[in-house]
Amino acid sequence: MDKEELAPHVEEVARVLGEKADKEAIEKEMETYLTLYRVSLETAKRSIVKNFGGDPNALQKGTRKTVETLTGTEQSVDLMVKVLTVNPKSIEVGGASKNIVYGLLGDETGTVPYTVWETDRVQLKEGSTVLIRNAYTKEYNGSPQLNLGNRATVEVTEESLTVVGAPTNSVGSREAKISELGEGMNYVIVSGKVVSLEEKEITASGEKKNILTGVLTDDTGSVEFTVWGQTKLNKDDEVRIIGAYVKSWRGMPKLNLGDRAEVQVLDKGSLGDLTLTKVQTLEEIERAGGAMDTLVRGTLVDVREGSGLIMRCPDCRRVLQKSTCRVHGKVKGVDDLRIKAILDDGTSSLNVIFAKELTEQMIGVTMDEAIKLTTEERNPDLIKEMAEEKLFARSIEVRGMVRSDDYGPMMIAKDVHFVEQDVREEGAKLLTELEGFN
Amino acid sequence: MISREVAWRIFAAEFNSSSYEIKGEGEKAPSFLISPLGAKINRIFVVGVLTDNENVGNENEPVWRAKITDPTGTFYLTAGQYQPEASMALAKLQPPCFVAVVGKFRTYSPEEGKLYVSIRPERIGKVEAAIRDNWVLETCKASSDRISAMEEAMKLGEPDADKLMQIGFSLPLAEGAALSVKHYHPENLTRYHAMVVDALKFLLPEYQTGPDMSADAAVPEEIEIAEEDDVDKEALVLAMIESLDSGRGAAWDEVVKKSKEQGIEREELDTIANSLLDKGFVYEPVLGRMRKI
Repeated sequence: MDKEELAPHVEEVARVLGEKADKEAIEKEMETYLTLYRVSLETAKRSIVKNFGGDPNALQKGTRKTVETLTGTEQSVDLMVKVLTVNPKSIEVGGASKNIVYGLLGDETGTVPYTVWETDRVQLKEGSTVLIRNAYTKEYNGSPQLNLGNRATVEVTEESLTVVGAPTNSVGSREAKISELGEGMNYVIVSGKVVSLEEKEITASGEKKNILTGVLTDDTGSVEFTVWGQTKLNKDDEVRIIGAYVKSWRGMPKLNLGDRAEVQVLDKGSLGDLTLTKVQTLEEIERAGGAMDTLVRGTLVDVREGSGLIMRCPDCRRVLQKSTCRVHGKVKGVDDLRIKAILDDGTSSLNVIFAKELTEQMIGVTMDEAIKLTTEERNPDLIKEMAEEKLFARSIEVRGMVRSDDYGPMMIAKDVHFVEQDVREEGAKLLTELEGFN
Repeated sequence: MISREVAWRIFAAEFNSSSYEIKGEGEKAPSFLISPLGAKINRIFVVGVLTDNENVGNENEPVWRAKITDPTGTFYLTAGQYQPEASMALAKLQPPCFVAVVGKFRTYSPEEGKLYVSIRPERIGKVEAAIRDNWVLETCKASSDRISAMEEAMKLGEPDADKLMQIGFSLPLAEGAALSVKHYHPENLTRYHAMVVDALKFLLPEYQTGPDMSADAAVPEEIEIAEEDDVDKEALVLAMIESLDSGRGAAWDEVVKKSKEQGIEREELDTIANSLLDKGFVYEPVLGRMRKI
């Protein structure tokens, strides 16, 4: 390798070492490593940096990319980005607590969520533009996430970057309805009525602490909240909360009021009627991942296996297979009735579970009658077949709680009724719209 | 997590005009059929009149073929041994009746550039008229939403799902519309606009004057555009069948005789009767008899 080819590598080592060594010394070392020891260029550079007391990780090993081109599989990548948000967080790793930082980074091509795993190594400041080296990416929910591990280095630069696609829910404040709350929202403004409130004592990092938890309701749904600071709140207050953040648990968004959150108590009745009336599309539900209390409408397109009369373990309520519980073994089962169905509204689909009372209401048969019929007909699937016949293709409106697991979102129904549309009235309305359009 | 594919609400006229299939690559990747209005179909939900139902296989290996009509045309269904539940349900169904179907699309391409689509049912069940009416309304709404997305996509020089989402369309609508415009290059959507309007009129009693409510602008097989005159004759024959029906259907001989009196020759009557059968206005309860549905 001649001098000319070597020059950019010498430059790079010199940049990393800064005052620690001059270029001539580096060049000499480089030649020794490459011609005498005959190691690879990469190894040579790392060794030289190390010998002079520098950080070899600061060498530009990864490829420089833009946010848009991240695939979620990069093992080492460099990026020039603006730090949009910085959120410290404490997590449990193998029983010990560990501090990490997460947030959002962006450049001219888009934004990407990040996590800093070594907070001693890397400090990020909101609003600064940085050159990140040796980060790696992982895919999460179909999008890449940037990770700054123990090899990552960060250099603050003076360059200015215009960030595109910064979601409004992550930077600055935003007024949101309860149904719009989603994981990771950061400085949100939300109004509603405190329908329940209780004080709890918890132990956080070895310290006892009093917190307030409760439920906030508006006309689009309800959300559980936790007050970590000193905010005063009373049950039945109508409030406007400014600067809360959202974390999800099993897809269900939860509102957190940290030290920065501010609560304004509004006059009673100023929020109007708070009955849950707003119907969410199933696509909205899928995107949110969960909801504590929500209203949806759709068509029952399938009644799934496991519907009808079932036996449960008397100890743990698990469903028995061949009178055997997978934890308690052979047991004397307890009868139960349920329907597992798929609701589809044309935008997405949702698994819905109807417990005994709702099942009885929907198929018009009580559990005792169901047991009797099943025995008489000697058909264990009788109730499932009845449910299929009665429910397939029916439109329903259902209210309940939605949470997510590995199989996607699932609703536990609380309330259900069949929807009878006035087809003529609705049809005439749509026709007027369409013909007016012509 | 693999999420379940949504069931699209789509009329037969739009479904049957689809000619753009995106085959899923890899083992579990789903395939999609892109409809002219940009429905990105894997699964569909249909309610209509079961007009034909026949086992074209044998007793040991039944293969059921069925036809379901909606206000715009006919869906074709095939259920074989891998659709045991749907096959069993079909074996029990006697046309005509209202049925609801959830199924996946299938394509058949006998030659390059030709694509026929049908439904492979997962679930099929008898339903009441109200559910059909409900479906027609819902499908009108869904189609007109797709038309709106398509109109915006057509205005864009380079159709782009992101831009459509910025205007406020949902991801599936935006994605489908962008794909459709790129493939079909529609000049206008007049035909589908008319399809929705006609389907809506189908629901409204003030427009229900006979078979002419199924305007031919909506029928995908555009080759045979019926003349105004033909439509009137169809209405006439339909009225005849209804009036000659004393409970078991109108005797075909009687219909032939009456038609002749009205100046409709045998050959023309056959065409009209076939058209009425196709559109699902009449059926044959037994050979030689016809009834209005």
